[in-house]
Amino acid sequence: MSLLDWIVLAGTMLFIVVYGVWQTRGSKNISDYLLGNKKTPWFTIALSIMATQASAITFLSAPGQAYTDGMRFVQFYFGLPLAMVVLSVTVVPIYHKMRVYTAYEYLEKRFDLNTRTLAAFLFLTQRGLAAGFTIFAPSLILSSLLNWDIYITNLLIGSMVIIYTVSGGTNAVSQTQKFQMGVIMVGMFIAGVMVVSMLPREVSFGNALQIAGDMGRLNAIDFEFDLESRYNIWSGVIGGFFLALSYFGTDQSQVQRYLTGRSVTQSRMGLLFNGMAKIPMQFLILLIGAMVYVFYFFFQPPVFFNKVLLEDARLSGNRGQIVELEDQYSKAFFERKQKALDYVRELNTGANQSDEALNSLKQADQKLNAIRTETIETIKEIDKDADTNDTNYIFLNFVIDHLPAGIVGLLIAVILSASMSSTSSELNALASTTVVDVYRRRFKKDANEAHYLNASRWITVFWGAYAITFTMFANRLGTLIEAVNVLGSLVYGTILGIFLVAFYFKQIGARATFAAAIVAELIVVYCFAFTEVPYLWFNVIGCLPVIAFGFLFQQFIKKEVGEG
Amino acid sequence: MDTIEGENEAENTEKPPFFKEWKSWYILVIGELILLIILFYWFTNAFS
Repeated sequence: MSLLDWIVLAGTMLFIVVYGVWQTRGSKNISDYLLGNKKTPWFTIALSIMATQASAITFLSAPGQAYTDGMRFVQFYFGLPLAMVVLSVTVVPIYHKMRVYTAYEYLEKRFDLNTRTLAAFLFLTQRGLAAGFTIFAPSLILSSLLNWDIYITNLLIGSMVIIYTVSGGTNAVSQTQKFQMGVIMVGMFIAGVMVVSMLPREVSFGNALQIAGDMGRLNAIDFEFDLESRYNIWSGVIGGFFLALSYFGTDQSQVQRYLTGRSVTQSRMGLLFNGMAKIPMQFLILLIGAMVYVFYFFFQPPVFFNKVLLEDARLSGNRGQIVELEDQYSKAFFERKQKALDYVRELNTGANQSDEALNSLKQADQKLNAIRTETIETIKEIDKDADTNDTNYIFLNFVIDHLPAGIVGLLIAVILSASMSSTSSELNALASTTVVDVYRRRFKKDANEAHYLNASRWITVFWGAYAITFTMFANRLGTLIEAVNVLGSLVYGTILGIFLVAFYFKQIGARATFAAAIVAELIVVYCFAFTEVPYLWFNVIGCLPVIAFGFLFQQFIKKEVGEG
Repeated sequence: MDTIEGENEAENTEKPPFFKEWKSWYILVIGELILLIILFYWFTNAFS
């Protein structure tokens, strides 16, 4: 990185931390610290909701996914707008009416303390790990590509978030997220414009779209119902709906964002705006990935994007084999580049030979991919434990290798901003749940405001330290964005089931719900461990048994009570 | 509790911004989703 990059990066990060601390200094009570005294306007809520969901993984992994797998990942978000509407109609008024600090507080009012504790426990377990993951994912990639020390990177990101989250609580989270979203939007817009403008002069944006489409990278919609396929419109609308309903309706890191709204209207508008903006935003991020894919038709990509693993393979004694593969890859790349230019010429002249040119291009592409596959297999042979999925490295490789000084710093600030915005919400929510649902409810019921405020601050520090500690031990990962969603899907369905019973099935009582939730979670764990069911369906598989078994167990309980 | 419920009713009857009733907002959000799916379908077919 150049000096200018460092200035842009350090300036942006320093501004966020100082701004967050200064803007929200002096929280005097727990309501201010955890709910911002319920004064947040809807636009801030909307940006906060979006910033919480869009972690660094979104900006690292999504363009890489479009590069390797096309744009079909966008379908994952199709259930989200529907969930926003359902939550606005049903859940938001209930939370406001109950004046709760956390989503789980409501469960005790509806059921009992055990159900509240179970849901809080599932949340703390899953979100505690996810918070560490949110810091670790960008650290791993940044440290690998920029030769930064991963431990120092983890520590720096974690510490910056802890400083302003502890200082200003939920207000600091919302205020910094507005600025972080600004950095993210500007950075990604510039990246999108740059990648298209850097294509060869004879290749128009339309040509780039045509190449990406011909190569199967613009597959935004797949109507075929296939349980084996991870992303199609059905898994997106149905599975995505359940996931979004659970994530936004019952995950405290999101619930806390809209509980800060000063009225039902403000909270609803925040959710609905998210419902309208999320899919277009995700589509554009994936489109940037598709354009990076086309860019590498004309500028040579590395044979393998995780350069550290590639270098390790070179140094392992198989240097000759790797270098030979790289030579072959280089030749195959120039061959494909020529075919791509021929195809563009055919497209632009409107000649009838474009089908033939496209077939030649596809053959050249297959040849190139075969060499890449062989290289990956060679790396795997050298190091059997190596994580040879390099999807998460593609976008940042492009940024570092091809974007000008200053912009690189800005894009790395985008990644760090996204990581910090999600982490701050997570720490804030973990602290709220720990204090409100566990500490105040079970251990210290009658302390004063100052005590709980102080406890919230220390517990935020604890969860921050826990997240950083997790990052120090985390090791190997698959596709990051999927790993986070898989982790969430393991518990979201069950939590959603509990809440759906609470909201809509008044005849099912506390004991039946609790037992049904345990059975449902066991079913999800079984499916995860022993079946090939795609993870989006876990949200449905976890949710429906809570309702079904809830009904069943309630009949037994009724009989018992009747017989008794 | 009465006060809280009373306040909440006032909140629920509060008019949404730009439209007369909340139903219009919900239709807009779902309508946009349908429009996006149609556009993405066109997009997928147009370039493949």
